[in-house]
Amino acid sequence: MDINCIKRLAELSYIDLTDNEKDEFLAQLKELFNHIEHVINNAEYRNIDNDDEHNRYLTLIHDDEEEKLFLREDIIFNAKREKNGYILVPKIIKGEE
Amino acid sequence: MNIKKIKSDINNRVNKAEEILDIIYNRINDDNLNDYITLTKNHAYQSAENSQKRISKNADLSLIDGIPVSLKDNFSLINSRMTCGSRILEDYISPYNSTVAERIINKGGLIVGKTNLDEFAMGSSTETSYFGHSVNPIDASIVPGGSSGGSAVSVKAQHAALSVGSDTGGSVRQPAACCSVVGFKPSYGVVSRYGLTSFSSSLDTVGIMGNNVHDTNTLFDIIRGTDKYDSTVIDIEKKNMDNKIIGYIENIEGLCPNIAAIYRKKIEQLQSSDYKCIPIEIPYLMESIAIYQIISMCEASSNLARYDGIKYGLQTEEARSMFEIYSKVRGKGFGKEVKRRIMTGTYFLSYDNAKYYLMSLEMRKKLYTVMKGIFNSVSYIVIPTTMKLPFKIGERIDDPLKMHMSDSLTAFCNLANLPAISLPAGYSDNLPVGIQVIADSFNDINLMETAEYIEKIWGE
Repeated sequence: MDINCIKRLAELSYIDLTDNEKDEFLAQLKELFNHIEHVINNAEYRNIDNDDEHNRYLTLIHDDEEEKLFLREDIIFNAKREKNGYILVPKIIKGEE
Repeated sequence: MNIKKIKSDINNRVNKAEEILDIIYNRINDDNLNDYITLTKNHAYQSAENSQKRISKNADLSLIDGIPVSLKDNFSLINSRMTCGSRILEDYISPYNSTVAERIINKGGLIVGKTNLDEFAMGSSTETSYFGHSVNPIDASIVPGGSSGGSAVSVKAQHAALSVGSDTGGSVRQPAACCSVVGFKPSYGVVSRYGLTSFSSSLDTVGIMGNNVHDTNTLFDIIRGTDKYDSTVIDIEKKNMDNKIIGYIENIEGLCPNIAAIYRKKIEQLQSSDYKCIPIEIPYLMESIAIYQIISMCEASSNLARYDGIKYGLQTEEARSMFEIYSKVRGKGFGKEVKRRIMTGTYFLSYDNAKYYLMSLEMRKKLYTVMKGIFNSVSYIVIPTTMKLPFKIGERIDDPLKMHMSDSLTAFCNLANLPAISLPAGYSDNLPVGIQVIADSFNDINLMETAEYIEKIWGE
């Protein structure tokens, strides 16, 4: 794990980081990932005897019916800019063609 | 401040519901504990006026009619600001009510305001809130716990009689322990999550805090039950079971000696009443935090993808591509802990590391079946809520791993879907200690009855 890994993770997460954050996160996440991987790698977990109980729990779900809950106005309300009932997104400046 | 006292004041005309709100809002202002991000005065006074009319006619809607309740700021309350403790939602207004808020309002409860929390409920101290940390009324130098720290403070400081929080890995029970109040996390699938901002959808639960078990249970009865907007919720019933066998852990690795001493005493008190206490072991207890970290952060990285700076929340003026919009807004709008968790989730969902995610899912399943087995021989489990006494403000904020360890004794309940309630268990070196009573999945009603009984034994 190095600074390039942090940059790549930030990129995949769509999060801009400051240079300070990159350095800080490198140390913190390295420690965190090492710890988590160490614990999981050393745990004895295979050979689940009976997972029927767990599967039963996962199926305790009732029907989910679609319902129209919001009006267009409700959705537009929190948008910073709006025009003719549409949300305006920030201006995208095109690079040189 | 409990339901009984407020009801008696209102019924005996000591105070009207509106006057109780006056007292509370003055107190909030004078105490300055930063437990609320937004006060919902208009809403509360309107409800109080209606409530007072009913009470004057002896036509109370419910046991919480006229009772002030606070709501964690990751629950929607219609036409009110909901920030989730984040800059990215600093001026977001909810267009609808969460099911929990709806049910409280329908039964006459007064929603005083939206309480402070760690950003998107990610933390154990409220220090990751964009709005600054809440102050623990017991000792201002220690954290109030988190993430529902504002809720715990509001109950302790008498800024509300009850509070609704959320508990994904211990976020209701741990702050309840830090502020010496009752904190209850029901089984997953008992209280609707509709309108609760998603953090980790398979672990998130709606929790309740109160001054005693009775009050906490009163609110639980009102908010639980099936809801057409959350398909995971079922109705539960009281179970016919042996209520008198308690499992406890003799030696918890890493438990602070002060808490261990109180824990021993509390187990002895149960033994000298009519409980049979037997030592048990919980396999995977020590591994549970790692499993929790992987699952919750993977789910969070997906859930928080919705904050993209397009439809609502923080925006950026200019960018060269859509991806740049997302990155700019999220870079500016999220705090460090949220960024770290999203990146951690992204890491464990990437091709090279996905095996850890899959392994943690298997281990979660294993933990669930192991706990089922334990509950074949005991009715409840009693263990401390935290490993350590409440820590100092600033002590763990730059050490994420240590901060995450605050949930060491709580997160396994979320993983195995067990209801658990943290009860105040006294003080050590003037710092509060909480102890949890835990039951098997969906035994919430039995758990509350037992917790009320245990509260009496421990209070004697």
